[in-house]
Amino acid sequence: MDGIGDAVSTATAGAVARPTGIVRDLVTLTKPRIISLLLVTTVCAMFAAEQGVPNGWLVLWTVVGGYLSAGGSNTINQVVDRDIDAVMGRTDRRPIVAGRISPVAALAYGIALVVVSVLVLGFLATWLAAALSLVGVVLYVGLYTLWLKRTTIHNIVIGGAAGAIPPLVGWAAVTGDITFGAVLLFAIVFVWTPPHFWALALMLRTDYSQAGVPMLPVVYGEHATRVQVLLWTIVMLGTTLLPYAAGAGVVYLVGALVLGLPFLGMAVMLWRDDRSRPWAAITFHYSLLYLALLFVVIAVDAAL
Amino acid sequence: MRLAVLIIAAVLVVGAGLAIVRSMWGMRAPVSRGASSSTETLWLILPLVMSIALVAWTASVMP
Repeated sequence: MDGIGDAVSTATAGAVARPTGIVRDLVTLTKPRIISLLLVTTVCAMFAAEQGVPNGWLVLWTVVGGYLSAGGSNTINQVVDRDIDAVMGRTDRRPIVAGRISPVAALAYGIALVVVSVLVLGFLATWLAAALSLVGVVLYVGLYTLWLKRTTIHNIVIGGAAGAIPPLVGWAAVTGDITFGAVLLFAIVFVWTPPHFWALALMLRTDYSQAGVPMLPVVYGEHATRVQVLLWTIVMLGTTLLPYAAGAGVVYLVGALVLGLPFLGMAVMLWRDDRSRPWAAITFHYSLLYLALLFVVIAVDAAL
Repeated sequence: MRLAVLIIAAVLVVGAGLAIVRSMWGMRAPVSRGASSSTETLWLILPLVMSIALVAWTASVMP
């Protein structure tokens, strides 16, 4: 198998790959911006599990393990999806597509990251957290990337389970088990995923169509997608009320409503407006802020 | 107060969940060789079943 160093090809003929460029590509493969949101949900879930401030070292090692696990998944995803990435403007400059890192080397790198993540989480957090992170890898690579993404319009609904694993990892790192509270956090991320990704798909419909990915707006059009964004946002808003019914504080209830009602308003505007691109962008970007802030509210409510 | 919030949540989750299934029921045709109408039906109904179960579970653990 090629070594990582052997596989880093030169971007231009005769040029020598600079170490900083190699490091940048290896970091880029992990998709750090996406992971940052996942880690917010992980750390905030640790506060909820602890019902207070968790041990700082435990948080650190869980974040490290979580980054490596998600980074490994994202790297393997880019190996599998390099044909799709090559025809989408958003992804056609990624390291594998651009030929700066070979698929074999990237696969080895991704697997290595996953193995190290399991060891870090297992020895320095809990083995349940390690096992759950591995389940997340299997769901993302096996269920979503290899199966659902290219075969069904429900790809990001069912595949969203992979993105909902990080709160379970954080919870299990603190308590060593999974209880009802952890399941609620999983469910919140799971139902947040469809309006988030379908808003993005509305923005990138042409790209997905060129790549042959059966995203909902590609197969059934923009109107059907806007309807689904609205309906899933209602499901999401209802799901975020459940923690209060189960015992969370008033701070959480107020936070969930203050953050969730604008999300619903944007989904309504997206549904009503035939020129959906601007509202799709607004809804997508707000959804990122929404999830991060909602989990911060969960952590604050638990710590009070 | 918590019971009222649970009822509102249940109406939102189950109501919108049923609307999702109803609105997508006609979209169960396979869109690729790797899919079948039965798996499409499963992917459509599974989230609704999970959501209803979650609401019921929440009701059972209410303080």
